[in-house]
Parts: sequence; C-alpha cells; structure tokens
Amino acid sequence: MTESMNRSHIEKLPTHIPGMDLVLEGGLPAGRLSLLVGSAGSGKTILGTQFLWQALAHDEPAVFVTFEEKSAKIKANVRSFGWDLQAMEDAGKLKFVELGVGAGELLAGEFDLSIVVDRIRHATQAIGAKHVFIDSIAAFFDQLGTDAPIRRMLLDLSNSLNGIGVTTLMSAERYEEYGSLSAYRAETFVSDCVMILRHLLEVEKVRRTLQVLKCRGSAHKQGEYPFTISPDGVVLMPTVGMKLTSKSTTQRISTGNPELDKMCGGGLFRDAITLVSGPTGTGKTLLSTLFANAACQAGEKAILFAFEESREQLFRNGTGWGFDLEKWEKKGLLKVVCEYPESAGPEDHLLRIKEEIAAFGPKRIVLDSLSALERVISTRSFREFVISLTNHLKQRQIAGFFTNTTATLLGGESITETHISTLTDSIILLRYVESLGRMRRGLTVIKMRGADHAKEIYEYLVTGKGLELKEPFHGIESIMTGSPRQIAMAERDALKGVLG
Amino acid sequence: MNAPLTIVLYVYGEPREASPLFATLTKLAEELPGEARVEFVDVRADIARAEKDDVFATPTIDMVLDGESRRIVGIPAEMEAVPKQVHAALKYLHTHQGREAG
Repeated sequence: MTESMNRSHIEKLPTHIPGMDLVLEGGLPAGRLSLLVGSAGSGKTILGTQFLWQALAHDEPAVFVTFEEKSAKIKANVRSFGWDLQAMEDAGKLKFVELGVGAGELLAGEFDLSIVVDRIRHATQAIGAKHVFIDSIAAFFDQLGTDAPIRRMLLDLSNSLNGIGVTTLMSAERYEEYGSLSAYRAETFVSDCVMILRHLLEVEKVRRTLQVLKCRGSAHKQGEYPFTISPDGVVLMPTVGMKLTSKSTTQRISTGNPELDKMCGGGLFRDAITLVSGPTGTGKTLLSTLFANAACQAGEKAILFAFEESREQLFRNGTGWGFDLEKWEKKGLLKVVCEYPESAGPEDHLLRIKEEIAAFGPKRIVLDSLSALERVISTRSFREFVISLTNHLKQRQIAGFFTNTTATLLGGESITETHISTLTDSIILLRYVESLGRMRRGLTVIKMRGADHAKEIYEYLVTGKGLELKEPFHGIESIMTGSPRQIAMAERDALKGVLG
Repeated sequence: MNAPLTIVLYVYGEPREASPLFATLTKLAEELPGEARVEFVDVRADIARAEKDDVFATPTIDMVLDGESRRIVGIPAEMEAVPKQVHAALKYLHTHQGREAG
C-alpha cells in the first residue's frame, strides 16, 4: 500500500485489471460512481465488462446495465476474451438490465426516469451485487434527446447506489480525443472518478492510453498510461508503477566469446542489460547468437526475439558461425520468436515478450533488433517500451541483450542509442574501419556499469568459428566517429610492412 | 372484427398528472369500437412489472393489440393531444394487424 493510499480516506475497490489499480492507486472509489469516457472503439465496453468479469471471478455478483446493445450481443462479443457471461447469468451471479427507447416507442412529452434508478437498484439488491457497469449513458442521452431528466436520474442513481455501497462504472462517449470531456456534461458532475480512454494513430499504429482525470478525495497517478487489448482483455502498462527495487548481483555470465569477456572485465553481469550498436553487417546478430548460444552451453534457457530475420535464417546463419541452434531448441533450452515489428503495437510486443518469458522461464533474452521496432513507433512509445522491458528483466534478474542498427554505415550514433543508452548497463559498439583500402571491423566496450573494462578498439573478424577478436587498432583515430584517420607513425609502419 | 385492445398506463407513484391521464384513457377506451381495457400500473410499487414490461420512463401508455405494442412515453404538454396520439397508435396497430391477417 502506498503512502498516498494511507492518507486517503476513500476506500478503494480493486478492479483486478492488470496495471489499472496501480494507476488508480488501489482501485475505483468504493461505493461511488466512476465515469469512463472515450471515443468509439476506445475500449470502454471491454474495460467495463472486464471490471464486472473480474468481480465475478472473485465471487462478487455484478450487474450490467445496457442502454445500447442487447445483452445477447454483449455476451457474444466478449466471449472471445473467455468471459462467459451467460454462464454467470445462469448461475445467478450476473444480472443484465436492458434499458432504452424501443422501436415502437414514441417520445411525446415530459417524462420521469425514476424507474431506471429503481430497476438498477432492484437488480443489484436481488443478487447482492456490489459492482455495476452502465454502458453507455451517452446512448441514453442520444435516444431521449433531452438532458434534464437524465441529469436528475444520474444524481438519483449516484445517491441511490452510493447509499447501498455499490461501486458503479459508467461509460460515456466523446467525439474527440482531446478537447471537451464528453458529449454531455451531466455525467461528469455526478462522478467521483473520471477516466479517459484514448486511441490515437502514431506512426500508423494505434496507441491506446488511459488517463485518470480526477478521483475525488483520493490519490491517483497523473498522466496517460498506455494499454493494450490482449486476448485476455485490457492490460495497462504503467511505467509509473515500476520500482527501482531490483536486486543486484556480481555474478558474471559469458558473452560467448572469452576475449570479449576479458574486455568486459570478466563477462557481463548476470542482471545486466547490454546494448550492441553498429551499422548493418558488422555482426550484431552474430554477437546476439553468441550470447544465446553461451546461455544454452551453460545449461540456461534463452529466448531470441527476432524482428528482422526468420527462425530459419537465424539457424542457417548460426550454422555458418559454428553454432547448432536447432540442437538447443530441441533440448528445450532455446526459444526463437520471430515477428515483424509492424505486426503489432509496442504494448502488444511488450505483452508478448512478457508472456513468453513467463511461459519459458529464460535466464537470458536477446532482442534483435531494437531499432527495427523503433522505426515503427513513436519515440515516446519506444522509450516506454524499453523502460518497461528493462524493468521487467531486472526484477527477474534476466540478462538482456539488445541490438541497434545505426543509420549510417560509417560511424554515427543513432536515435536508439541516444534514447536508451542510459537505460542499459553495458554498451558495445561495432564499427567499420576503412584503412589502407580495406574495410575492417572494430569493437569497443564503452560502458560497463559497475565494472572496469577495456578501453581499446579491437579489430575482429567474422569467421566460420564466430567472432574472432584480434589486436587493438594502433595508429588509427576517429574510428567511432566514422572518419578513421591513420596517424603518421602508423603510416610509416604500414609502408614498412608493405615494402619489407 | 377487432381483437381486444389493452391500454396500460404506467406511472411512478401517484403523480398529479396520473388521474386526468387515466380518466382520459378510460374515456377513450369507452369510445373505441370493440372491447378495450385500461390498466393502471404503479411501477414504483411493482418493479418486477416494470422489468417484465421493460418500462424505463413514466408515464408510459402502452397499447397492446393482438400481441403488437405501441407506446407513448411522456405526457404531452396539452392533454388534448393524448387522444390524437392514441388514435394514431391504434391506426398503426390496426394496419399492422390487417397486414398480419392478410
């Protein structure tokens, strides 16, 4: 329980929706009316139904009030999430209240909606429900075409349900993602807690967020928090809930190359996040494969998430470098997950990675490459993705090995490096080195958090045995900037070598 | 021959408007050809009936003819408008009934 919750006098009711209670600092205000606003397709009905489903899963009866869709349609729509509302209704744990203007009804004059309040209250009392979802009040406004009776009804409803300790979530439409809060203003005044769901297109991907606008009398997290709609329902991924409480270890693990281990001062830390950055063709995937192979050789499980190559390509390349990845896969030590970054949004990728980790239980993961993902999402989403992932790995002491492709062939930093360098523990740079008419390759360790490391730039070769580290470059400067320059002494030495 | 007509007036409690509305409907029923019956339901006292009959607002006048229903929700500003609306609804129901029979 957080300090702010301790200070709060309003009791919170956990929603049990992943991540939501972190943002709400405990849940929805218990026994009160909360409002969920969002444009069409923002996920209001799914989230509201999930609120009820979680209650039902915790053996708490619930009431679903619908002003728009018929219960049969709602039941069918949410069945894909595994929510069998029909079974709950049959078991007497769930009650539907269908309200609204029917086809054969003519609105002729002034009317009163007290019976709506009574019917909802009656339904809750009939099964002892403490959770109500009303979907959507805006539909009711639209059908009736007048505000005043609905305002009165909402006030009565709020008072009535509050009086019997029922926690109510009510959805309402809005027609723009930013701007006026909801189509009708009455619902916002009677609600103690107001949440906004947004879904925006970012780099041609839908970005869904939830923001708690107000929560009268109790604390909540500020800002917009990304969420996704997974096959199990809504999953929020609030970076705000993360804590820097991961344990630290001095245990080292091998990169898969003894010479590179030496450069890192004896290998990478068991819980380190390592970034390997370099232009295309420099050997980032080779280093990733080495790292995963080393895990399997040590009898540890590893997952290789590939955003650019298929399993078959990776296995073929591995064979070319002397690794039998298929053998590790058959032994159950290696799992390869290949997906185009474009196939899903960042939250979906993150969720998938977490699910794979939970199911497989690896000690190491490789993500090749981060920059492939970065090109299809916004900088903000990308950073959130990396923060969430690194936090997830650190909490579980899983070693992470990420690759990044720089934009230019020679030198240069990348946006990925700029944005995530501070989130990583170790950084290895790979560069092409143009020297005396030959294209060579250089590797250096520029960061090893908590340990000393080699400062030289080593030449390396990619061979049938994998990565072969040679001697450090001498007599060449500005390799990392992409403008290597022979210094005079080296030129003399080189000529000496050529002329004998 | 017309089937028996049922006119149900749903009210919430006993609002001032209920009595003249009930009286108007009773008078209308008497003037209608064939059998007609007027029923008065206080949904505040009988929520189960409101649920069963799917009443969401009061007053509601429900005219049921041969299983077909036509509803008028709310009170018109002028009580004189009620008979007109009832007749319009009945016309619709009779037309519908005729189509069904045909």
